[in-house]
Amino acid sequence: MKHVNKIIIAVLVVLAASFASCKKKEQVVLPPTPGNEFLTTIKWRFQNVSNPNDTVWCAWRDSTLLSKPYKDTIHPIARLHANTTYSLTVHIYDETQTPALDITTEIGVQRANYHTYWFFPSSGLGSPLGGSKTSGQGSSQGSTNFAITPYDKDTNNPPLWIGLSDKCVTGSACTATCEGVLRHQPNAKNGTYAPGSSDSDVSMQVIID
Amino acid sequence: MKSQIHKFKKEIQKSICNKIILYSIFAMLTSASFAQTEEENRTKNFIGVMGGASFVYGNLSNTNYWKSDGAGGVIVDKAAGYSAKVGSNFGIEGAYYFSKYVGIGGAFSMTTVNVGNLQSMSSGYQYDFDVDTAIASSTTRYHFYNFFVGPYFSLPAKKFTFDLRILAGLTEAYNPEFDVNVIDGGKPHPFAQNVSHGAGFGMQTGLAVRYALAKHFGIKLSADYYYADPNINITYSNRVQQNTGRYLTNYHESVGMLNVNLGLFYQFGK
Repeated sequence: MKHVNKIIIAVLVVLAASFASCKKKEQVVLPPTPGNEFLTTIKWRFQNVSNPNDTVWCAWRDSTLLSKPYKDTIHPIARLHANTTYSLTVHIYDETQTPALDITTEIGVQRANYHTYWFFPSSGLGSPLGGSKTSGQGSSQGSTNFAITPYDKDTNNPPLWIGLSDKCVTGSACTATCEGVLRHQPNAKNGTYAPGSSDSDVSMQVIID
Repeated sequence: MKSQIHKFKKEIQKSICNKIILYSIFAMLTSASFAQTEEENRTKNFIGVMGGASFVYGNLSNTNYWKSDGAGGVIVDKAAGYSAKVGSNFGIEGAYYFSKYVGIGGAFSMTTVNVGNLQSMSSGYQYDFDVDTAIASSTTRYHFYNFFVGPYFSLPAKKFTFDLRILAGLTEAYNPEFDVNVIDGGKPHPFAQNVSHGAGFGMQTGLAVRYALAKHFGIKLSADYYYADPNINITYSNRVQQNTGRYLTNYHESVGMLNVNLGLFYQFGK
């Protein structure tokens, strides 16, 4: 009988151990850091809607990452006609690689759901139309003399604008600067500027004459 | 003459009474003997507790974030359940026998499986959201509550009884909560796949051997194939972008396990 009791006790211990094994510690896993591209070069391309041959490029290059940036791209200038409608596209490159890596499609298509490109003209380009860093809402950006309307959309539900393909309408002649900011808003993009962080923040001079 | 006739009648009556008594005794003895034989021939009814290891296979323990899209690219593998390879189960069971070999039984059991390696989930979200860091974690587990009934086919041999059983019924499954925090530029953007549950068909079939340690008590060793097909609707908290990264609206994957259990049982009868 003692032998039987010992066996029963042993089985009970095994059952209790299997039940107790349900307790679990929190599991936290940190992934390895992947290699990132550098956003060394931002180009704005203005194409006159009425005259497609009238195309203006202005490019900003990162002088800290590129050993020999072109002098005219450290302080880029966009010279545009007054009262003209342009198709504006933003192009993003990593020129630390050879050949230069065009990452526009990656950001504007594959990763569009959490990226937004914003334009903030200085006061010299007229009154602000909508988007601002503090209360940035809606798709109307720019200012009265440099109005920007994005028309590319992501696949969020509902779709949100991206800002890499825009309509740009110039007004009266003036000269000022415009800041372009690429916002990275993972699990946070909602059509406003505030969430997330900036992947790229550049300024270019805009001359409307 | 009259006295002879009376005596003859009495003898006949006595004879009949004796026969009735004899037949009655014989009938009672026969009946008792038959009942005892039937009792001895039936496998003893039992109830018991069991517990042990559950070896998971299939997509539940799949921890691949990506899978091939068949065209040279990759897509998110939404079938991956991120469970561990081994879990545990605990339950009660019992069976009632109609005859020496056949009975009907039932089992209520709970299977618990921890979350497995979340490394690939972290890396996947990190890539999909293109962030500096992504952390995937979980403090909860998979739970399967099973309510099964079905036939028992048993073969008693002295102190041993060999069982074959086929049980089926309802499985209520709970998936764990997955907490994900994508961090970029020092800013955290957390979201969570919530604990969700759903029901579905479940079954288990397997073999067991029971050994009677005493008149009523014994131990049992069993191995069962377990299958369940629960359909779990998934919800999220603070998930802003549904079309980026791993995002499930439901998890409907067949669950397969091999349960190897040890148990105690109490058997009824003499």
